[in-house]
Amino acid sequence: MIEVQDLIVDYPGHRALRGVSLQIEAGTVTALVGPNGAGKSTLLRCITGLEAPLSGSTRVAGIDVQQAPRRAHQCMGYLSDFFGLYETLSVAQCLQYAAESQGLSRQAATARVHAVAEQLALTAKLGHATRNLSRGQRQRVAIGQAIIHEPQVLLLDEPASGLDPEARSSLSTLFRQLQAQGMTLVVSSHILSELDEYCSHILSIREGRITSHGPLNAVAGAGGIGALPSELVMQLELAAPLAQPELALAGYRLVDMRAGREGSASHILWIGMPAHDTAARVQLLQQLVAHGAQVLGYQEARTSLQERYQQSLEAPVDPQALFAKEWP
Amino acid sequence: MNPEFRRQLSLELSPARVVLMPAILLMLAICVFVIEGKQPLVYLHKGAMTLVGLLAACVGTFTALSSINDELNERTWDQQRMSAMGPWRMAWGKLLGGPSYAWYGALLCTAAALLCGFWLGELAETVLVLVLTIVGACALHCAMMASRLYSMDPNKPATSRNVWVLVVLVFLLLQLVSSLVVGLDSLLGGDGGGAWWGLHLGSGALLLIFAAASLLLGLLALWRAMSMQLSVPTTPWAWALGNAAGCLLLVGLVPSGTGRALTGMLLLALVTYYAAALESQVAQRWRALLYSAQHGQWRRFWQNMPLWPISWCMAFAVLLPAYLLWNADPLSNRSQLGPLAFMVLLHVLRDCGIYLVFSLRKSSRSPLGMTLLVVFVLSALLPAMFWSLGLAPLFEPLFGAFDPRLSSNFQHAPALGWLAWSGMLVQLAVLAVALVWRLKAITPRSAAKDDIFAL
Repeated sequence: MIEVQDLIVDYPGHRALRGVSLQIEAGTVTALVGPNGAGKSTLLRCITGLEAPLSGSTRVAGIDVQQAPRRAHQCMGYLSDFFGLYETLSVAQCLQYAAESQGLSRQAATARVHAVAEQLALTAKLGHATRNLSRGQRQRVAIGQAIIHEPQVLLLDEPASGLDPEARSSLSTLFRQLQAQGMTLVVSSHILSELDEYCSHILSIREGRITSHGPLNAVAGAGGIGALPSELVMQLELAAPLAQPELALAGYRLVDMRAGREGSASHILWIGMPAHDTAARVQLLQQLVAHGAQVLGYQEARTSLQERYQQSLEAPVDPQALFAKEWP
Repeated sequence: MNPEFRRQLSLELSPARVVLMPAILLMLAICVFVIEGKQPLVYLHKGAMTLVGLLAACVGTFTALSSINDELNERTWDQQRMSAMGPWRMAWGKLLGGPSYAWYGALLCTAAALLCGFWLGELAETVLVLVLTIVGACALHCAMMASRLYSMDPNKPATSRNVWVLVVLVFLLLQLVSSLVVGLDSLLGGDGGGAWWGLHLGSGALLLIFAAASLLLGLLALWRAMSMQLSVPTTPWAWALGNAAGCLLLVGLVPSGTGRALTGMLLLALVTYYAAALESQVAQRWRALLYSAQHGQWRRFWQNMPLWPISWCMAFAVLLPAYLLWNADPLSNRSQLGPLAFMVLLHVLRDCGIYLVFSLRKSSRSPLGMTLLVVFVLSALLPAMFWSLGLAPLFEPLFGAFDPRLSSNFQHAPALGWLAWSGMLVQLAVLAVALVWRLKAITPRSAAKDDIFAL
């Protein structure tokens, strides 16, 4: 859905992005993380076409953003970290303007205004001037403006900054809803615990280079063994070790295993299987139970975003290697 | 309907304001009737026409510019740039919507002026003056909006200094427009007129041609400036076309061939200064320009090309045939115009180069202010100090043309004096070194492998 090739961005005396290349698949939610000044906002602005790179190209939904920015904007929405609203307009007028400026007809725009207001719990505020709204409500209006034309890609720069816990929680719910609708999201934030709730991928940037990019459901770093490409790793917690491990795991790849919590006899196993094969997941559990396994837990293995981010900070910066390894 | 136009209308034409404007105008008309008992219609006629000019040109220009500045101040510019509206749609939405309240008042005054003109038997003249005023004001809006867009740095909000510059500008416009509108009436009434490219035209026709051409050029400039701000890739063909058309328009008023060439060159030199002073994000633009040239990305090279070198090259292109025509080389006598014109162009290049050096600094100080200071030192202070020694042209080469001591001392000296040419060459060489140094300073150290300016 998003393709970035050899992106170089210079500011006077400083290179903000150093030949960044990446691909983001449709329907994913990518957490864009990195320290301050790493190049997160610059990358987002280049993807939107608001910033002109020194060299390189970006494509969104197959459209070259540098060559046809206005056409590309029809399939993307963007929330800037320092966004503004038209203070004298009402919420409805703001949303209506955003919809029509994205090429929707007046009737279609009006219908979308009501749909988005309902989705963002803003229906009661439609007639209010935006200057009278709270910070969380303003944030929702700004997101509403970004999604009013039902873009395929939504790029959000620090969407949760300055919000109270309740507003942040509702934001997480909203992002999950948008993903369920098929939207591709890229969310830049410093609040990793919240990103962890709804992000499926991590894109870590440091000093203008990608340090980590891939799905969060891989067990990278668990015993030094990671998931293979196109492989799903399941995490299994057992009350006691398997009596016949070869038979119980026949047909599956044992990725890693280790003892459970200290003082308990439990064991944790990571088992690899073909991704998107639901039958294999069910069959593995049945096979384990049939061989006497005392299953305490069975779930998709997932490294927390915090862990992945820490690993990316320690990893050497080699964008080509990362790109080749994680995006075959 | 254009959503930007509709949004501007909803901001400008609130019900209270719609009622307020005719109420104030009506009170002004009553005042005229009360004060001037003998010929109130004559004064109402003149007053209405002046108000059309003031509202359209002054208030209208201010609100048209606000339609751009407010986007920066309210941080909504990114949202507009992210919309799917094309540059032309966005441009006319702001052009007509931003000053819509001023146009509303101007149209009310137009109606009053037409009624009075009809009553006084001066309908034709009134229509002509009003058309000229409205077209001229529209052209002014376009030019000012295009200039603002070209000079706009999206990362910097409109500062109070910008507002003060606007206030001064509007004050000057106020003076200019009122005298123009009042004077236009008498001009149109006379037998005046002139030759334009050999065609003898009446003053009314001439003014109409100029106003219409200005509007067309203004619209072209506004469209291109908006394209640039909306990240639509643009090459500077429209700027070159606009420069050429503007020159053809004005040069047509000059009778002789030599005068035409010189006027064209001087106009282009002025436009070069204007474009250089307006340019924003200078460092990024020049860095991208040199990078794309170095990597053979010629499309990007032209897209990143600043505008002032285009105008300077065009001025040079105008000079070259004239130079050949006059058969004037730097070693012939000083009565020839060629060397002087050539020196003027080098002077423009030097000044723009100084401005560029200061623009490439990582400093918050105004590059324009620093440039003016350096030019003042080079062109006034140092020549004054060394005038008695005959070294003034070394610092300000154009003084070579006015120093009689030099021509008497050097019988076979070049027209401006060898000192002037040497001085200009030294200054350009120093400038070139300074530019390379500044370009090295803005090039990231990490770009060592692929960049000629990397340290």
